[in-house]
Parts: sequence; C-alpha cells; structure tokens
Amino acid sequence: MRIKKHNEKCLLRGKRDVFPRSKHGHESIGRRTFLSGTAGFIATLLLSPVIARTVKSHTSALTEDPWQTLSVVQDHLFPSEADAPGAKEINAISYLRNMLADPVTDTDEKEFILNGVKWLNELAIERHEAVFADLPHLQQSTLLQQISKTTAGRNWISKLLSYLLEALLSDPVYGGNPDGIGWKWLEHRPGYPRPPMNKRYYDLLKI
Amino acid sequence: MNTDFDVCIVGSGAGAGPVALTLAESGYSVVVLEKGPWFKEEDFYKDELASRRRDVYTPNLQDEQHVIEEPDGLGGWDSEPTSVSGWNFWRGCCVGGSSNFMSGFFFRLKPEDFRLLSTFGPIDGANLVDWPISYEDLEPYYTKVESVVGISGSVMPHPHLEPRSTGNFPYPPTLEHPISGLFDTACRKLGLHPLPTPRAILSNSAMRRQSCGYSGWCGSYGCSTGAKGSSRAALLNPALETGRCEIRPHAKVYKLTTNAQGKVIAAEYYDRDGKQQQVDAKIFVVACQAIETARLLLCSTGTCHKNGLANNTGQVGKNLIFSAGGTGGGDLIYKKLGRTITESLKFQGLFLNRNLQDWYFIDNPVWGRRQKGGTIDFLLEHPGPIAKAIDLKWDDHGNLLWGKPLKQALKKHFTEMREFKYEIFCDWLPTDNCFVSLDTKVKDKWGTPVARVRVGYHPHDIRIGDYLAKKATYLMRTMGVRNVYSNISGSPPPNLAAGGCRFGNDPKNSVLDPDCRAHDVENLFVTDGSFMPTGGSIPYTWTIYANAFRVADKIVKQLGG
Repeated sequence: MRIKKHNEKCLLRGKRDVFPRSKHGHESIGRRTFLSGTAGFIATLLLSPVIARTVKSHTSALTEDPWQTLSVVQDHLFPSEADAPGAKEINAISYLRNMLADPVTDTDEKEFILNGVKWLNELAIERHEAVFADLPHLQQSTLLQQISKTTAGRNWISKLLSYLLEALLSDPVYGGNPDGIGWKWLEHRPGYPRPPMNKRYYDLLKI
Repeated sequence: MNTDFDVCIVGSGAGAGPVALTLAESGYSVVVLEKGPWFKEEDFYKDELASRRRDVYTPNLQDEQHVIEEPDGLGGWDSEPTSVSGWNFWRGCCVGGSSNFMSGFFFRLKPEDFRLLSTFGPIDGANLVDWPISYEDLEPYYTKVESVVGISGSVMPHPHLEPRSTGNFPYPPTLEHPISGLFDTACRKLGLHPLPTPRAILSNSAMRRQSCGYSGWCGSYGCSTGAKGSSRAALLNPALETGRCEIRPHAKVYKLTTNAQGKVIAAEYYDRDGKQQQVDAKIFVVACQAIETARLLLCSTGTCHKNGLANNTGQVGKNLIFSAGGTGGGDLIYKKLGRTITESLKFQGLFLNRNLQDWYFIDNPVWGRRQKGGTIDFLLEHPGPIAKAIDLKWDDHGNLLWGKPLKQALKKHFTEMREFKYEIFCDWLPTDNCFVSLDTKVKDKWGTPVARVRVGYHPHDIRIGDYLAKKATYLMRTMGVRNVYSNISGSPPPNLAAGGCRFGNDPKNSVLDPDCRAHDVENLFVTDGSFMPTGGSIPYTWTIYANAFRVADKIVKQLGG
C-alpha cells in the first residue's frame, strides 16, 4: 500500500531533505496542466449542448458572490466535528479570501478557483436547477464526487484542500488556525521564532 | 591600474564567503554582487508559507527560469521550461545563497575521491578523471572550515575515516535525539559502524553567533540564531567588520566584459530599479552555483572569447554533476515504542545526526572489481506540518481524500507515528548527457538567455543507489520501522549541483587550472562547486567552502599579498 503512495512521491523529483526541495507536491508537477479546465466541469463531463443552453438561462445566479459556494464546498472538504475543528473553526474562508487578495498569488490560480465556482454552479443548475449552495447536502456531496472524476474538478478540489490545510496549520498570523487550534488538534508544536505581523512572507518580498 | 575594488565576487554563497573574508582580512577591498535581497537573522522565522509554500527566497519563475531537458525514455530528450513545469531550479537567491537554507550535514571527501579514475578504473560512458590536487592539498582547508564556519561533531574511528590533521571537532556535537541510541544498537547488532553526522551548526555560542535554538527546522529555513554556518552568518558578516568588504544586494550580473587582451575589466549588472551598472576590479571571482556560473560565462562573449568567457575549448557547462542517489523511509509507530521514546518523538528539536559509510567502498564479488559506493544519511521527517498534511490528501491509489477520511488520516499520521528517513549519496558520474547551455528562445526578465540544463544520468548510479537502499531498508526493519519504502532515481536535486567548469591540468578538457583560475583568463577565478570533476558520495558544501578558502590564498598571492 505504502509503496504505491511513494511511487507518486517519486514525481516530486529529487525530493531530498538536505536542503529540501519539492515545494508544492503534486501541484508543482505541470502548473499549466494543473490549472487546465478552461472547458469547465460540464464539458469534461460530456454533457449535451442542449443542457449547456439551459445553464446559460440561469446566468444571473452565476454572477453571485462566489464566497458562499466556496464556504459550502469547504464544509464538505473539511467538516466540523465535535472533537475536531472544521473549515469554520479554522477560519478557512477568510484565509482563502486573504490569499486570493494577495498579489503574490498567481493570477491564473485565482482565476481557476473562481472559474471552478462558476463551473460547479453551472453543473448544479443543469442537474438540479439550483445553485450548489441551495442543494441538499447529499446532492452537493454527489456533485463533488462527480467533478473529482474530471481533471479540472480534481485539480480544483486539490487546490482548495491545499488552502484548507494551510489554514489549518500555518501560523495564526496569516488568519487561519486561530489560537493554534489546528496545531492543538494534531498535537503539533510550532517552531520558534514564529513570524510576527510585520514579517509575513509578503513583507519579506519587500526587503 | 585604478579600479573600484581589488576583487569583485559575483554571488555570495558557500563559494563566495571564504574569498570575501580571506581577501578582506588580507587588506584587499572586496565587492560582493548578489542578485537577491539581503535577509538577516531578524528576517528568518519558522514560517512554512514563506519557506516552502510561496518560494520567497527564489525568483518568480515567470521572471527568471530554466529549461530542463530530461530523458524521454526512448533515447531522446524532452525539454520543458520550469515556468510551465513548476520544477524550481533556484535555491536561496539572497545574500549567503542557499547555504542559508541548508541542513548543514557536513562531510569531507575521502582521498580516493580525488582519484576516482586511477583507483577504480574507467566506466563506459562516464567522463571520469582524477583531480589535479590531492586530499592532502585540501586537508588544511577542511580543518580551517571546522573552526571558522563552525562544525560540531565528534570523530569516530571507522574503516573509511579520512585522515585528519587535528583530533576532534572544535565544537561538541549538537544534542541528540533518543532515537539515535536505538539506531546505534540496531547498527551494532548488524556489525555496522554508526557515525555521528558532523553539522555546520554551533552547539554553543561562539564567534559572536548564538548557539542552536533546537527548533529542528534547519532544512529550507533560514537560521534565526546564527548557529547555522551559512556563508552570510559565518563569513560575510566578519568580512564586513573589516571595513573592506561591500555587499550589494539586488545586483544581477549579466555579463563580464573583457578587453582586447581577453582580461576581464568589468562586471555589468542590473540594480534593483533595472538600471545598468558596472564595477571594475583587478580580479573577478564567479561563484553563482554551478548552473548560473556556467550561464554567466557563456553569456560573457568578447573579442578573445567568442564562445563565452573561458570557453575557448568548449568545456564551460560540460560535466555537470549532482549530489544524488535516492531517499526512503518508514514509520516509527508510537505504540510500539514505549512512552519515553514516544514523548521524545513528539518533540521536534533534537537531532538524529547519524550516517553510515560502511559501504563507501564496496567489495562485492558479483561486480568483479572493487566499486565506489556511498553514504547513507538518516534523519527524522521535517517538522513542517503543512507539507506533511498536503502529502496526505492523496490516498494510496492516487485518489483525492477529503472530508472525514482526510481528517482521520491527518490525526493518525500526526499523533501516532513519526517518519524516519534516509538519504543516499552516491557519485553522480559525469557524462555527456548532463550539461548546461544557453537556451536559444527563453530569456529572463532582463532579456538574457536562460540556462538550458540537460539532466541525464549514468545507469551505474542507480545500481549503486539500489545496493545502498537495500542496506538502508534492511537496517530500518531491524530497528522496527514499519511501512519501509525506498525511492532510488536518476532525478537531480537542483539545490545540490556542481561541475560545469572542471579544474584540471589540460585546457583541452578543463576550464580552470588547479588553482581554479580560468586557463585562458588570467584574472578570473571560479570558486563555487563548478570546479569539481567528480563529486564524491556526500553533500558538497564542506568541500566547496574548503576549496574556496584554498583558492582565496592563491588570489592573495596573485595580488602580491
């Protein structure tokens, strides 16, 4: 079992700890491939043109604030539990907002995340005549499973998971992991010194 | 001749620091041109977003990149720009270079590493040569690095111990993890010689640098106490104190200009605002790491250097090598280990500091003659939690995991086990399939051609790597490590490159003379890892430091000192 997983790790080419190396794991393999999906989730799920037209008539719904959709998706990807923090407790949505507002974040990546919201809602409307956030939990769940079978959908979920895990485990100075809630849950002790407000990574880029 | 400085050094990492310090201490004026920013201790934090997720210590790949050529598996080559692949070939572009971000596992070469060809004989397809200097020539400088850069450790007699002119290390070993004891017991049971790994990390305050703070995050992270022996903390800071060394950050050198006689007269660079500037000096030293050093020389054409500086015999960029081999590891399961060990494993700070060199040379009857083997270094998984967590979003079949299954995997991995890892270092044989050239299309943001790097490897390297991996995994199982895996490949670690400007006696097959001065440019020296014709079976940094100190003495001599 383990071997298989680490065959994937081979993809992290030359991953060595002496001065470690691989930065973004799977996402670093083919940035352009990763961000592919210009055709959206519907096209990759091979829907008929008739259906695509139905979707167009609901465009007003698609121009709505993407954050509501993203927040609902985050709750699926990282649900709150009685004994473990979820997306809400780790401030995942405001963390993601910060990162998408950050000029350092790749423009293609920002577009990809927002396009993903649009594609997901197109699919939701086509299948269930309602935007994603208005669907019952089970239908939402099924849709996420379905898009994860497409390259674009898998990449989109993978990207959102990376930001969620950053919100869970990065220093609270970045807006996620309030009071170290993620660290406490995973019994992780942070390294010292920790970054202060005036030395976050975007401040370092000004040096 | 009046020049701005006696010596101009391009780059500020491990190849540059020893030259800056030696020359400034000898009374010469030195300018260091570094393309990146100048971070200091107060800018370094255990911030995984800065160090591992947002690449703040390396350029944006859209602005500056490489083109990498890999074997396509059919006998040809596939090339891809790193802005497309995301495979970052930069490491630590800032004052002090990548030495700021090293783990500081320090090893000396062994006498046989200086004469691989004459000791082990030729290998088909490998451009093996002996070095033009011997271990004895470099030994005093290895010793100097121990005290000046600050290496902590303890000398342990073993069959392949390299000769030493001094007794023990000047600094005692850093504090060790209880797992080191378990490791030693398992090794002795197998008749092996567990060796404490020397570290370029101060175990007590010295030389106006603080002792290690035992966060355990060394690799990829800048050191905030100054304990890590980076070129910046250990060498450039003292060089600055002489008052004769100036460091210019954000100075991207794009060309070394030569006169009609072929001598270098100026370093041309872009400053932070993109304005062209230049510096003149009596002697120029290039130390930009192997790939960028070759690129700068190839870009520096002139009347006497039509194919690039020091490239009249077409050797610049050839015989690039990497410090490579493979990695592997397995899980130390807490509930199998008892409470004391478990508690210690949850604490990140102490060092494992162990390696094996029992197979540095291999006498395996199946292979006929004696072979060069390598080093196996052992370490605990880096404590950075985000990288660990992101690995877990994929299940064993390569499917994405989310929701409760992902959370269960996280909880288990973080609270029930710790990964115990090894890294194998064997020789990366120099071949005609591993070299640097200039890309004909892709340019950096200033319009200079980027380096095109072919990263082919010799199949012999994999054979040796596999042999060592078998030993490592057997030992791990003996120790009770679970889920043991290994990953041997010919994939190069971009941060550990050398070669490309071999030193040697014959200008026909080398770029530099034995003093690391260009054969055909009297005032040009190369002092990073580029000079190495073969690299040994260890990380290079100690050797780069030692050789740069050696060459610095030659430069002092040439300047009349």
